[in-house]
Amino acid sequence: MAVELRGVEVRYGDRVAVDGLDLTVDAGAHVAVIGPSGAGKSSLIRLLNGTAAPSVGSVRVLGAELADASPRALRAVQRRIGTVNQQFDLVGELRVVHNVNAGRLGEWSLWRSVTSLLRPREVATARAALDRVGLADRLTQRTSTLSGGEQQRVAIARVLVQRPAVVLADEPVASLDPARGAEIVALLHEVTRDVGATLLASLHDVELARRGFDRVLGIRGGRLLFDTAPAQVTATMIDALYELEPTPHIPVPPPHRSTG
Amino acid sequence: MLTQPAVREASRLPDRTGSRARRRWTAVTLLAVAVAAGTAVGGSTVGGGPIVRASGLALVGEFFAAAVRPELAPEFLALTGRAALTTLGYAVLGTALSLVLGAAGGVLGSQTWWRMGGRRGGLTRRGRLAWVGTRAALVVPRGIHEVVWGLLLLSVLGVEPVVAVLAIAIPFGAITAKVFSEIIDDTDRRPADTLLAAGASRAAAFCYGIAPAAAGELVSYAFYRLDCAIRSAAILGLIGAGGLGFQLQLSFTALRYPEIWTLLYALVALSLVADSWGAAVRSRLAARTGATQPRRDRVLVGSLAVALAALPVSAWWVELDLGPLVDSRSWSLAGELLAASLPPTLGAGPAGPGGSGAGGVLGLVTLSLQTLAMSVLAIALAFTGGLLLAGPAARPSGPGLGRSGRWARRVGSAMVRLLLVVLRAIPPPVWALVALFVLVPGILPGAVALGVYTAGVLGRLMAESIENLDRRPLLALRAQGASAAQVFAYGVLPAAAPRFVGYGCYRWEVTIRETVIVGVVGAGGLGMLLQTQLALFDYGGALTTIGSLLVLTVLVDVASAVLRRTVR
Repeated sequence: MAVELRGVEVRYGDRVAVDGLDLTVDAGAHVAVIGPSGAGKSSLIRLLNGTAAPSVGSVRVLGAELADASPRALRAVQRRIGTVNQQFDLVGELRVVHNVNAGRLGEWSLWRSVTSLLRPREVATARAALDRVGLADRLTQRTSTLSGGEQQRVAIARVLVQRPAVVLADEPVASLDPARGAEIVALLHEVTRDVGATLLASLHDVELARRGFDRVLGIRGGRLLFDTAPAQVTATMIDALYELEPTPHIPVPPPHRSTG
Repeated sequence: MLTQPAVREASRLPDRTGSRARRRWTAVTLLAVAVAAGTAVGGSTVGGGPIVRASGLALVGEFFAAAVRPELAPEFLALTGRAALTTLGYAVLGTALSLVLGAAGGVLGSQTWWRMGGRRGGLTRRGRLAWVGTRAALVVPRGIHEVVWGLLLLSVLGVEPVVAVLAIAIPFGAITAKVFSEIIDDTDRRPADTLLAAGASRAAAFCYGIAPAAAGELVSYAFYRLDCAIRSAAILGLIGAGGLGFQLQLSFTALRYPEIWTLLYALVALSLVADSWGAAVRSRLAARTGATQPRRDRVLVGSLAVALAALPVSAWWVELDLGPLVDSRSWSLAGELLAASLPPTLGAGPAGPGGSGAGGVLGLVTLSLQTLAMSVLAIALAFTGGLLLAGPAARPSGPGLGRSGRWARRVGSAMVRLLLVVLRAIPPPVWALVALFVLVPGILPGAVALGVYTAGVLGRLMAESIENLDRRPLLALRAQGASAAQVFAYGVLPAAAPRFVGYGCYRWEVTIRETVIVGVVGAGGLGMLLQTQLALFDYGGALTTIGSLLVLTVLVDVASAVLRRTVR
């Protein structure tokens, strides 16, 4: 079991972001999470990589309970969880190789990390990861000069060198055009399969969620609306998921710095 | 794009307020300036005598006439060269140490660092305490001017090169720490958060996620600090640190004006070299941002090598000796000094010549108010002067002027810019000594000295913001046949006014600290009292005076923040 959530609630003040969620994901499964804006998709991802804590309930990832883990134990689990965000979260001023190597920081000593900024270490690993995402020739390029799609590929390469057991993707293609988006999702499937990891990706686009995933979760208002195989997802289910509320009073999540 | 470093110090402007509040504050400001001017003039005529000595005018004339015939005798040039190297050496060592202190304080004083330590990226109670504690610890070293640090350290360590280095490094370190922490907090935190979420340690996430993004601004600011340190090192020479300041004082005492100008030109040259070096590095850094394959830049690598090599060379040249720092005698002397300064007193003996007394509580309050008046009058003079010079100093850009007119303008603006360089390259104490030829000692010559110097600084900042204005409305006015002055009044001033007032407020904060350095040459105020007290070993009185200066500094910082909010 890669992921196990039991009775999880997340509250930010009065707002309920996740409202009683139970979920298990088997190791190696590929799961898509869909739902309207503010449904709690980002909160779910943040619960799973330990950057948000549940107000109530238990979050177990790779056998470790994250809700009350010590900082050291949390970091030990986090090293095995790779996250790809909507905004890529790369440092534009660094060369590509350093942004890829940043995936190794959890394993590296501080000395090794700092000296690598002066003379890159483990270049072969970084090059192989970049080759895997189709950017082998960009190793020494300044990251800010890459296109959006290329930057997301670098972010995936960074997750690759981390050798994670769980890959999380929070709206990984929301800032890209549809063609680029489909490529990135396909790439996520491939590289996750390469390392035998579990994939959990939140997506805006229902069509993308049907491609290559074992399960599709529909989330609305912090609750699980459906959890089924892609083939079983019907138009009615989608309509119910995205239907506008009868009253125009849709709770808008307060801006939070860490969500993309 | 990199921010101009001086602008960065000034640019933290809060939200705008209504126009009624603005009118009220304008009235308050004008009233304060009027009262300050009245105090300055009134304070100087207290003996009933005239405030201007006509006989001094001839001396001022001689002084400025000597500008075109500086002393060029080979021996004196060699002496000037050695003195310039000493001043540069102090500046380099002081800046280096202040950068080390500033980097450490900047990280610990940033919210980002403590947020990254919080488990879920929030500020824990301990983190908030550490953050507030660091910021608070920086207030006192920042509020005390280099010269005061110099005088204090001189009492403990004796006449040693290390005094000048520390006197620069302590306040500069605190200012640098404040600015660095603001740069760090302005940097996008999300890349670092992502690394933390992947199990990276806080230090590693900082080195990869924050430091590279902030590096350009940090380096740019470091060079600006070097430029400031050269001026400070020269001023510290006046209190015995050697170098250009010391030679300036010797030549001044002997009234050898041509020598003074040689020394001043050396100071201008040092300042210009540091300034253009910083500008070159800044533009190289900015150019790298756009480059796909950033190559090893020869200027940047060379600059780093020169900067590193300059440290041991400077230490050797100024004969830096760290012995006094670990000497038990210095420490026991520090203990004695501390014991002698407690409890703080109002000074001993009579106020005025012969004693180190402040003249009771009333006297201290009067002196504090006079010091405040000096800063207000100085900034009013500087603001007016800067405003008058900024328009002509701004480089004309784009079409709109006739060809011949454009050439005349170019030459004219270059001349005015040169004037601004000279105004701000000559340290305020030198301006004060010149002002003392004509004006009787008191806060008026101090205000004039600080005002002239600061006009040079403000003029440059204002000219830069004029150059950055949107040209189109100005060209439209020009096309209607408006004169240059009309364009300035209708186009430039309304658009740039909030910035100008922001700069004025920021320089006011600097000026209140600088009242000390004109005070030590006899221009009055708390600075003069402090100088007397330290000379007479009256440490109890000195502590009170330093405390009063700190209170004034904080008051001005608060008032300036309110003013800035009003004009925004």
